[in-house]
Amino acid sequence: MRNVLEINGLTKTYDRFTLDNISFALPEGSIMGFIGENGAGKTTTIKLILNIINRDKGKIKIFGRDNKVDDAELKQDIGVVLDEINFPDSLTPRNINQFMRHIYSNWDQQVFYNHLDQFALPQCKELKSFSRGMKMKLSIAVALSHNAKLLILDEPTSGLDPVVRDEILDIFLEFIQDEQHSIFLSTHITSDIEKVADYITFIHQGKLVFVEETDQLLIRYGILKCGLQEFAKLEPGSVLRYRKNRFGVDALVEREKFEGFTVDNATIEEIMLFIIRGEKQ
Amino acid sequence: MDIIISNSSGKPLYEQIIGQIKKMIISGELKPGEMLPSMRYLAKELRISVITTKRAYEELEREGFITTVQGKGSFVSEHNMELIREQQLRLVEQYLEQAVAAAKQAGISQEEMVTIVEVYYQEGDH
Amino acid sequence: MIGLLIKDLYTLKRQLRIVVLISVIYFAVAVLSKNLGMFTGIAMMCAIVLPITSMAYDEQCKWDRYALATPLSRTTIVLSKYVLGVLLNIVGVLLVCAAHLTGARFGLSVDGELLPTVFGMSTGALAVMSVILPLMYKFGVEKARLIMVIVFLVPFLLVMAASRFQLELSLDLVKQYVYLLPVAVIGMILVSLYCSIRIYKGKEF
Repeated sequence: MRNVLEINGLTKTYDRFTLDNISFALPEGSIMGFIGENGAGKTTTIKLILNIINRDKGKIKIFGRDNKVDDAELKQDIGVVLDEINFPDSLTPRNINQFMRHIYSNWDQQVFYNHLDQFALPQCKELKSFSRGMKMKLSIAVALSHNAKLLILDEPTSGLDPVVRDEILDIFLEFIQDEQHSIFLSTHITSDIEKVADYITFIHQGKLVFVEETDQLLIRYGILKCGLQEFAKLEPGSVLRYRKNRFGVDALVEREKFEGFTVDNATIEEIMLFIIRGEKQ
Repeated sequence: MDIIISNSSGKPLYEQIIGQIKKMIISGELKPGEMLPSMRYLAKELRISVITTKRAYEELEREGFITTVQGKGSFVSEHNMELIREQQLRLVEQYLEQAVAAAKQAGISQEEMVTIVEVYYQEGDH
Repeated sequence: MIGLLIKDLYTLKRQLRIVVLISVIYFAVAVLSKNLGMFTGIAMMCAIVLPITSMAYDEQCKWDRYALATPLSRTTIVLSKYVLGVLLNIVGVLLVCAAHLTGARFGLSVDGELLPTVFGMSTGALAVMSVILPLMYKFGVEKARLIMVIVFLVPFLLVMAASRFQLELSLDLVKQYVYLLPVAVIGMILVSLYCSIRIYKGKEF
């Protein structure tokens, strides 16, 4: 399986933040969730992938080609949704169709109008009357209307109600039905992607924590619940992170090391929280 | 065909899929040669990742329950149903042997044992 | 490029409508007052103001961030604003010419100075655009507007000072070199475009 997106040693330094030596790859035909707290470097990474900002170090390959060398050509095949809609709000969806077809050579206005219908978006109303959910759906409609092979989305579901989030998830699942289609999306609402993402890439304070297959992650890690005395008897280093309270300890552990113990399933969110906020043994 | 995914069962998703498809093949609900839904379609409908369905299909293929033809899809194998039944029976015997040994250790009677089996059997029916 | 121009025109559709309305009103005023000077001034003013307005819209919704995620190059994005400016300028010139010709039918005396006036106004507007666009790319719309005021206050004060010291330029001298004006303005636009592209390429959104 070839990689549609390959990032190697990506580094970008700001005054008070460094995206530090990030590497990962997204195989064709899959969905990768890019998680981390606000300010972890998700948007910076996405802007670097899209060449919106300049990197200090590292290499990015999209569809196997260097993203700097073949910038414009590669972007023809990428659908982009940023965390807010970036069209002037005096435009209507119909206006957007009129000029986007000159920007993307594969723009398909029939597909665009079909998506508008599917998402119940009006064609002739100005964007200023749209709710956040409608704007996000419009962004997604635009991203899906030029036959893109890779969708790159920055926080597409943040600030949306559960119903709209669910609709958007359906759209992604539909998109991925084509084996050549792939999705890279950042989010901090991990429950959205927990089920559908094939891979999870987790960054924290500009550093890569892990890249894992989602189901392996959920199989491998669990939450151990035990009393304080019991916890004290555990072998040092056997627990990845723990959170203590007056009455006991919750610990993030690798299940196979704790057979015979009560180990609950961990959600992606719990794994993320333990790694960010838990203590090391 | 029904596949029911449970988050609280504690079993990994792909194992749940494997178990249910196996059951359908053994029970004859899925006939040899019948086409299974594509991995991507199944993932979409169950709202789970493609990797999970792929892993399940790969495992089923490894065990000989299904065959996957590149570009065409996955089909229930034209296998000898007797053979599968035989294998499964051997597995059951193996487990029961262990169960009986454990029962004997604890002084559990044959009648009690049968009752337990009956209870489990009925539980599994719905 | 065409896509960007269409986008800007759609974005400005409300302003364009207002411009049409104002043109009609000022034309009526011009007919009544038998003077087209005001009308010409307004037309050229619009040619300067509209590209700035479109940039203000872009800035407000962070359009550039999105534009850079599409196949559009940075050069194209900058160039399109200049083309928009020039285009609106040409439309302004045509409008003024049309107004003068129609004015003649209403019995307005068409002064023989029509061409030089329009020509002067048009080159003036383009010169202003050349100064303002790089400033906008460098400092953003809000700050650039402020800087603009200062930039145009300086020559104004100089002229004031000059008239005080009776250093009035001879009009004949200006007329002699008038043919250099378009060359100068084209040069200005090119230098300005070059600066804007340089600034824009180093910019992060």
